[in-house]
Amino acid sequence: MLTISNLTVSVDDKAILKGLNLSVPKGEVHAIMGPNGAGKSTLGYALAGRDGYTISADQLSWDGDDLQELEPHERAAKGLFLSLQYPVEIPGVAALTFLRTSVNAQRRARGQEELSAPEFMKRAREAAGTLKIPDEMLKRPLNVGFSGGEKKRMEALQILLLQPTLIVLDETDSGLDIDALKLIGETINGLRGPDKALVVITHYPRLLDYIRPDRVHVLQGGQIVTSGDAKLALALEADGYDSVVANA
Amino acid sequence: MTAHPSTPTTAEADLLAAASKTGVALPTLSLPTRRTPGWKYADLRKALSGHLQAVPATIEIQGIETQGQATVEPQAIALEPEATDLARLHAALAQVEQRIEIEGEQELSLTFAAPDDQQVACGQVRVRIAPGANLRIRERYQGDSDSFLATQVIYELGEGARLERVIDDRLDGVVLWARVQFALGAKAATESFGRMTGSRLARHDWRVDHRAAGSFARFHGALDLAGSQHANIRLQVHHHVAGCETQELFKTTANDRGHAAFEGCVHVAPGAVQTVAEQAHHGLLLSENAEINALPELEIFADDVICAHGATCGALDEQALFYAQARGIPEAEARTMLTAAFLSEPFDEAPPWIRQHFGFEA
Ligand SMILES: Nc1ncnc2c1ncn2[C@@H]1O[C@H](COP(=O)(O)OP(=O)(O)O)[C@@H](O)[C@H]1O
Ligand SMILES: [Mg+2]
Repeated sequence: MLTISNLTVSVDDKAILKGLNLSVPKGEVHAIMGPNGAGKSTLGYALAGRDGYTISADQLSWDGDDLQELEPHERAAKGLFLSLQYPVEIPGVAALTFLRTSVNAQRRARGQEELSAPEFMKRAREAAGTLKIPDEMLKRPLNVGFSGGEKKRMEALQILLLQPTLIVLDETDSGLDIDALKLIGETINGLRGPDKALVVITHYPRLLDYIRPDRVHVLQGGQIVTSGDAKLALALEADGYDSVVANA
Repeated sequence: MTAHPSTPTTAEADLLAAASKTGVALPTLSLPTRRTPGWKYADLRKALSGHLQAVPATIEIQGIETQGQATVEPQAIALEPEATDLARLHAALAQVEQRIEIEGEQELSLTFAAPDDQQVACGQVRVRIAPGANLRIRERYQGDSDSFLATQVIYELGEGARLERVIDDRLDGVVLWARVQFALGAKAATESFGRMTGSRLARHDWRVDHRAAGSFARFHGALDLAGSQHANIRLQVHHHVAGCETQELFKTTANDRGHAAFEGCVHVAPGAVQTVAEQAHHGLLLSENAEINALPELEIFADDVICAHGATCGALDEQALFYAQARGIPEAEARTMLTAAFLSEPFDEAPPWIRQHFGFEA
């Protein structure tokens, strides 16, 4: 279970999240929707432990571990994966090298043996095949000069290889054409399982056609202002945030 | 209190005495300080504080015996009339230069080893590459003594000759003054790729003369300075004639109290039209006490040229660092990975044997 209780986050003394509460049990998919600037990405960064965010919370835990006690790389080793709205370009580091370094760093942290080069290559090729990522792209520096859609595919590839248990997707649908949206949506939907929790942050409900949420939450003004089932996403699309929130 | 330049320091007195023993009249010697034009980032006088005893240079030249097509001969050193005091001192102490004649295809390694503590060694090598000949060379500077090593290598490339050069320095404690000159004939091409970690004071003076049409020179380097290592690269390129090209790309990281200074100047003489000269220097400061100075310069006296220079300096990309950590890579490992990636770019287009030399996949 992901438990967030009374989370406040500020950046440069500016309060962005103001007492946010959210619980996502294992096995469930929750969507977080909200207008631009609501603090959705900030929630993702706070979970991942990015520097520069001042955080206080009564509880911030995943699967019994207090996330606030852990460094970002330790959170990753505990199963957290934050797919970024704008994946970062890493000049000079081939995508494959980056992937192998992260897979093996997480394995080391968990006391598992590192993957041999051939074993890693086998898994990487297979996952890349699923996501229709050409070999040539894996040899290029990670995300450098990749299109928006290619960057999101690389994020999905990392999910397949790292096998996280708490997956937070921040606007993974943005920048994707319909085919890529379907491919990535279906691939991630295929990862659902009793030991995993998914948090799908999105501005538009398109991705939710492929990853059907158990719960939908609306984030506005730094708090969850209303929650509902999958139908809430449709209402938001039809009527807009303001009227849905006003009628809640 | 700093001594007045007219009062010789202990090192200056020792060096003068050593020169006089070789029979070369050297009336005075004032070692360069920060105020000496061209030495702003290398205070040699300050770096050479104690006694210095002159000893013969150890120059190891490997590779030619087996190839049969190259020869080494000691020759007297000819000084240019405008030679500085320091250059005269170097010539006096080096006494001879090793002259290497290259024909056909050769592979060489040339290693200058620093002498022992409180010693000075001066060495000079001239490499003549015949028209159409090809040389691959590894030029190395090594040692960890409290000494002064002064070297000069002169590369003369005949028409259509080709020189591929690796510079590798492994120095600590040594005060180095390494001069390298390139005289390029028509359509000659040279490419240098260096990885340097500096020294107590490491001064590299490189001078390139494009003297006939169609020559090409590339200088790519990565400087990785930590501790209190210092490096000063001064690269002077002269385009005397039309239609030659120079490409420079240097990347520097400085950690702890490391200090790097890159001074690159490209002179394009009147009439040297259709010159192409591009220089770039990018620095990455890894600590608050580190320092990187980059001074790319262009002096253009001809029309119809393509010349550009750029310099950037910054810190490690925090976003990239977070991204790597969020994927499970611990901070220290992420920093190392990103720094190494930054320093790898100058080698992207290196010939396979050079990429291998520096541990990259060919
Ligand atoms: N690093 C930052 N410094 C200052 N303000 C920030 C920073 N990051 C985000 N904000 C502000 O916080 C608010 C929420 O941003 P964000 O979490 O990106 O919203 P969303 O993802 O919902 O669009 C916005 O008003 C934004 O301008
Ligand atoms: Mg956002």
